[in-house]
Amino acid sequence: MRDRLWPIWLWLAAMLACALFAVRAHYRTDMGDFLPKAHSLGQTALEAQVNGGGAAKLLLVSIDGASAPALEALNKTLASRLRKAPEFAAVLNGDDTSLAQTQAFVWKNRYLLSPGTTAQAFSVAGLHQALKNGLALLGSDLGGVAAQTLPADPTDAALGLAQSLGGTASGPQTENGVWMSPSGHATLLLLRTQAPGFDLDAQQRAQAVLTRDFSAARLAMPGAAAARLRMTGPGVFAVQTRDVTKRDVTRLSLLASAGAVLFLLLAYRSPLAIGLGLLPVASGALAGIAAVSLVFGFVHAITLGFGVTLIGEALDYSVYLLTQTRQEGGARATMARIWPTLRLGALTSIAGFAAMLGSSFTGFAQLGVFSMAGLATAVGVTRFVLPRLVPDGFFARGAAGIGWPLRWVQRRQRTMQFFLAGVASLALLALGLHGGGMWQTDLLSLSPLPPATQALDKALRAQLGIIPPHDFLAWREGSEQQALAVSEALEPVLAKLTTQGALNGFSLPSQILPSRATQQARRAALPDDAALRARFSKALSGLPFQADAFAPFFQDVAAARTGPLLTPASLPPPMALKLQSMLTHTDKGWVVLAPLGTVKAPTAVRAALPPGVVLVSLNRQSALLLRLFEHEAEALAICGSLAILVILAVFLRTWRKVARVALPLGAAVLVAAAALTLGGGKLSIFMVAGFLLIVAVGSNYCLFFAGQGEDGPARERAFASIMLANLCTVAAYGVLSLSVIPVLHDIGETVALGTFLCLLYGAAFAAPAEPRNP
Amino acid sequence: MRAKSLVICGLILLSAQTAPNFTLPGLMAQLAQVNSASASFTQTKTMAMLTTPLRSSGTLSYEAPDYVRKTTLAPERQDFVLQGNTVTLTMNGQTKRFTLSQAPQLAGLVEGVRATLAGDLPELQRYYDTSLSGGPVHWQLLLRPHDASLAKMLAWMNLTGSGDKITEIDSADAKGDETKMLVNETILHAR
Repeated sequence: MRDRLWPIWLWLAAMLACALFAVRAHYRTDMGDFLPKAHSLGQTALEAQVNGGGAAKLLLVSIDGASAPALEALNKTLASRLRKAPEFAAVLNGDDTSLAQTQAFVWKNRYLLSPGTTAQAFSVAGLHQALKNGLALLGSDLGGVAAQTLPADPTDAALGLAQSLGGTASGPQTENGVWMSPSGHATLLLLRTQAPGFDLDAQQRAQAVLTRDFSAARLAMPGAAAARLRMTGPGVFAVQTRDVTKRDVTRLSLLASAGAVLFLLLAYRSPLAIGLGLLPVASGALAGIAAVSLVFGFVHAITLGFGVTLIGEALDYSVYLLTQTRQEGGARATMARIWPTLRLGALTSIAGFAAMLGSSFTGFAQLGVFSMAGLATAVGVTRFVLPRLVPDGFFARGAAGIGWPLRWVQRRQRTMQFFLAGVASLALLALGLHGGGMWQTDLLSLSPLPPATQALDKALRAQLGIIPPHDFLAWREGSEQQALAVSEALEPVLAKLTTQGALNGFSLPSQILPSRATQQARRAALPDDAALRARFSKALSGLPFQADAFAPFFQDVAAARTGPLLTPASLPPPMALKLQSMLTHTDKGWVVLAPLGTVKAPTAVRAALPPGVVLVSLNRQSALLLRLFEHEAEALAICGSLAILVILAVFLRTWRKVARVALPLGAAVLVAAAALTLGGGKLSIFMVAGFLLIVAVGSNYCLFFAGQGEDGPARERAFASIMLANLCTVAAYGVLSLSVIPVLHDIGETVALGTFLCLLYGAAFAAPAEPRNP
Repeated sequence: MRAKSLVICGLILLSAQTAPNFTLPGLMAQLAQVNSASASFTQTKTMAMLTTPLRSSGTLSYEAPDYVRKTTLAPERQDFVLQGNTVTLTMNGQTKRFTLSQAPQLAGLVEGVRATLAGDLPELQRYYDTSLSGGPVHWQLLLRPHDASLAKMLAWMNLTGSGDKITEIDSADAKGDETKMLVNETILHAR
């Protein structure tokens, strides 16, 4: 008795240890952790922008569905409510007060901010020229406006700033102190959350506050009952993605499990057997989590969700054992019989998944470790634990006739071989002619959000004038001040490129916040009061100005000479927002990502840049990532197939036997790939993992088919087990293909179709011919 | 000839004193009949911060319903074009384009002139208190802005006209700087 039970104790102890690991593991959800590690500065900059940057904190809001006055009032009420909420760091809606705040800030600090604050500008000649320009302006149609500012700002420091701060982006229209969409049907708000973009719980809370405050404002507003709030932004996307994923995963995994369990119930007619049948998968999942956590230090959420579907094969192990157990034989005798085949099947799968270990996509390497550890554990549990737990006299009562479709195929083996070989040749031909373009090139298409949501985001970004530019300049420095100094050095370079037409405008962080050194130099360029007055009276000679008209100018210059220098904290919200979107502090230093207008001559721009500053094109970065992924997908497929062939060759010894297993598999994969791409579909990286799973599952079918002899009842049981295994797989993965999440949909579709084809090709080619008289 | 002049003088005197049928809606309706108009102008700006007035001259044109162009020819070439909601300003070889909603104060200013030209009374009264004096042959329309920030730029505007022609536009800002523009309409097409 004792010697029968020790594997069970060992298993329980191991599972307890794994469970402890699983509970203590770190789980991460950042997409960045799933993607390849960044190497270039451009990638680092983009990653910083995605993960920690100010851009990730933006919420874009539109309100529509009511009359223009109601929408304007609603917008103002909502904004004032949100300004009191601690969840939001900035609330912009184009209102006069926040605009006035920014204007007042720029006006007050114009001498620190303006590149025109030089010693030359404050010399007699410089002042005289400025006054002459001012006189011309007074006579112009803008004379009324100029007359307001000229007494305080004769050097016109503020007007130049208004132009450079405008940058490449153009803001939305303002109607009655509220941003309005071009159509006039919606008012707009731009919010920045206090919490970082990756803190999804905090993002969700902020969105809830927004919705709540909107409902309250709408309720209090007559004639606004039909008004509608719509929001987008990275935080909204992330929260929606998480919700959709959670809902879909929960709902579909339950449904998929239910489908599989239904078939098992029909076959086993014993709840205990079903429970036992799930033990290998459950043990494998626990072991997988523990292994990934041990190797990588964290488990990615995608690894977890996706990994469990990858080791779905482990369910088949128990199916083979429980279905092939005969009434008179007992589970242990069955295991002794099928173990060589089962072992080889598990080994080929593990070898196939091992190919994923080499991937530079961290997520794929994790999936490799997860499925290898999971399958090894599952097959171990099936071999050593399960037979000891199956009650004596158990057999799958309902399984007897389940294999009939396979026998039907077998009876017509010649015809089926002819037909299926023809289909495979056609598939090969079609894929050959298809050439390139099979791969999914749009990384966005991996997002589970509906196209309408993405379109809304695009529209709101355009209306708010925060279209993400395609081209950036990127650089990295050890300190904020050094990063700003580089930005200042770039200002004349980019201005020249813009004049030459190589570039269509630019934004730089130093336009918003000059470095401390530059601010000090500008302050030093301002003469003291006595000197300024002396120079100014000389500069006035020959011009029709009243001498005492410029008292505000002398006051403001004197104040600027002694005022404090500007820091990021002293900027008003709209300017702080803009600075943060360009300048990000990462663990690798201060990274700047300065957006450019349309780059018409990239070569000229690159040639003009100082060392350390790179031109980053978003399109090019995505293209590089994509090429890497295609390369990896191909390597994965080739290495995985080779590993499986080697294992088969080692164990089966003769090429004839290897071919008997490998050829039907190859043909099934070929037909599946053709079926998935010929309809215009594209292969995603997740489908490649799906193909590995097809091969892993299908190789078991083929091995069991190939291993059958003349023994009629054994053969029938074996066929029944293969059929049942496939029914469960097709049911479970077929349900997954209903998911809106591309990962789940892709893997579900690929595996359901592929394993069914394996069954078909296996029955027609791998199994020996049906004996004439059974 | 002499008799005719006397009659006109008499009419002017009469209309200045008593004009029972001369109302703002009536004048507006008359102005609304003008399809397009061209004029030359001379402008004198008297500013507190300057010791001498600034003079300029050029041409004006208007096309119903919403196109106004002011071209300054001396002392320097300058173009101010208002078309719909968009202002295009060309000076010193540079062109600036902005919408009236981006410059609400300027919007009040130009709408005062444009709404008068178009005979659009509701639009005019959206921005201004109006008071009309005189008669059909010599009238004066005084505009005072409702909005305080507009009033800083424009304390009042006084349009002088005869029939459906505008002959003078005078204005002043809050500090007392005054602009006087004499208008000589040359071509005029009525509906």
